[in-house]
Amino acid sequence: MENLKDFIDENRKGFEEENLIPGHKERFLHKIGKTSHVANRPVILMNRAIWAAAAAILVLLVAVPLVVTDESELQSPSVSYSQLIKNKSTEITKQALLLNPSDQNTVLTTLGQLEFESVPFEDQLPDSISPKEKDELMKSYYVPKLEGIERLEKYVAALTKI
Amino acid sequence: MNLLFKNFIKTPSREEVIYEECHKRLFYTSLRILNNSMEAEEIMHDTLLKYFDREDFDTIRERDAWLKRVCINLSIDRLRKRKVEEGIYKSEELKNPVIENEYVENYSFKGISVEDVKNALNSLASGYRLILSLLLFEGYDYEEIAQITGLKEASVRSQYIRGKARIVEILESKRRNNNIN
Repeated sequence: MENLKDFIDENRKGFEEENLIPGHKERFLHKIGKTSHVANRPVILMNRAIWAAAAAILVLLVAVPLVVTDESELQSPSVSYSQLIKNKSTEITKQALLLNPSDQNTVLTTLGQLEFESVPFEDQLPDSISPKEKDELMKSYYVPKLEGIERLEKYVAALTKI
Repeated sequence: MNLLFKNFIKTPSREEVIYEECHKRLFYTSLRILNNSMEAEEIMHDTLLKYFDREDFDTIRERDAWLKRVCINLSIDRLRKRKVEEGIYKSEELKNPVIENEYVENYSFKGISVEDVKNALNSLASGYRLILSLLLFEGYDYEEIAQITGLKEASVRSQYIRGKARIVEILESKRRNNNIN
């Protein structure tokens, strides 16, 4: 029966359309223990060796605060999840301001419900659990939130196109 | 000058380039076996972390074959850990003779959507899903799958035939329901 195989071969793209969980790349970079900016620095500086020393110093002055900020953001998964939610939320809020008052209210109320945390989830976890368990719990808590926010983002995008 | 700043911030590292190149393929390979996005993501990450821990390959083909194999092995390990379907590798079902059914072989996929086939695949027991996935999507043959899974070649073949028959059964039942409605 190669008709099932043929069907799959012909429609291969359709079998690979499921979205990855938001933030997968950030979680990978966190696992690998570096951010893109840290990794880039030597390569970029080598590639740009022809630039004058003054330019390189200037570049470092600009880049160092960026690197420090990103590293601190990725120190713990909860921070990166919160940061992701915050970034998405800012984007959605901006888009929502373009909608009519009724839709705007709906979107902002939903967004508020999705991002609301009276006490950050990480603070509610007991110290006795292992870092791995902690990561798992945080993932299962934040991923649905992020997925909801992603859906809301698509909804707002669809509304703004109308 | 602006270009320099732009490049400084945005040029991706080697890890990021390889991640962008390979992550989707690995994710879908694992997802088809595990049927769970969170676990598939972990396997995709673990595969790439293993890759970055070792020497690079001479060719992209070798690299991709290695990545695929490691991803499949890690996914199978994860399946075994789950222990939800302990019977998947047992021979109980295999005692019945396997007859290649002409109806299954000649089944027409006219009017069947990708989503229908995807759902049917996902509803299979994980053992069948694994074999079908390796054969239909990853391009391995019976012998290679036997090596990967540690099953006998004959078992791989019979699980493949049974899995396909189950898929057709599910699709046909859906088609009938659609016609009734």
